[in-house]
Amino acid sequence: MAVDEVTLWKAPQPGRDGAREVVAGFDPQAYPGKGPYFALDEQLAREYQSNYQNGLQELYLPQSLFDDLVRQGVIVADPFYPGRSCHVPSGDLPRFNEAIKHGTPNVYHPEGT
Amino acid sequence: MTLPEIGSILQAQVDRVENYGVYLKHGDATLIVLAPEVSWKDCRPLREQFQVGEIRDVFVLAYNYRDRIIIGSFRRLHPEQSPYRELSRLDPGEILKGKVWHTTGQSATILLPNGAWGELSKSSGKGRKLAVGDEVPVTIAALNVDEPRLWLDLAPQDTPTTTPSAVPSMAGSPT
Repeated sequence: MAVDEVTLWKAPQPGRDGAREVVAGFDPQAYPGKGPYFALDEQLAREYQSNYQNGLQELYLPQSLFDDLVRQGVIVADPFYPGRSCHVPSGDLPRFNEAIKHGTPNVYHPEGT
Repeated sequence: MTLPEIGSILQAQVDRVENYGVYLKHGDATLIVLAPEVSWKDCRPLREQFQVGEIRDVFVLAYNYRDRIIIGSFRRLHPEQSPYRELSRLDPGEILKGKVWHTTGQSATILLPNGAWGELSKSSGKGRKLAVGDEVPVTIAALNVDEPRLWLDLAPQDTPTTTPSAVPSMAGSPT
């Protein structure tokens, strides 16, 4: 991870193809409405992973791009975990998916690794 | 709707169970207990743990003003079971043996024997290389029992590690 990058963590729910999503992005049809949620710290994502048992996604995007997307409302604060989580509304996922291609390559950690 | 007191306990009826959390009803109010707030130890899928219609006690944790949902917790009804609270009873500087679960460029995630997750800054390792699966001696750098969050420091490698009685074996691990 580069110093000027933001890391987002996500524990994919059971049945989701976590490996495919870190490469192809998040399908708006699979995440309607408020879209997928991402943790800003790994510990929170690990807590969800403990329940889902379906690995962990680690996404990178440049800090400047992250800040732009927050300002534009593409990345939205999660009121359930203030300061620790965010979500991307379904309609904004194409822009988000493009953004996560501009950092360090994203990683999927399969369950048990 | 009058907001319930944060920290109070409500009785509510399970209305819907999703992978990410349990929705409940208390009168006209909607509550949600998100997956991490269900239990300190039990990691079974939520649909195995809850049935629609059953009545449960819920600890009121916060209020989501945007979505007008009460955020609740089941696990906080049992603070004595929190692995983070166990850690808070240890003497400062107590050395624990943790297992490296994951590493990034800046930090490593450490799993402690009692199931608590901690974040270890690699800068605290004084250049020592950490690999997934390594067992490492650590001390508590900071601990927030309520959130809960734990930050760790690496202890000198040649320091004898102890497993305090307050921290049981790896059998309690959530994974």
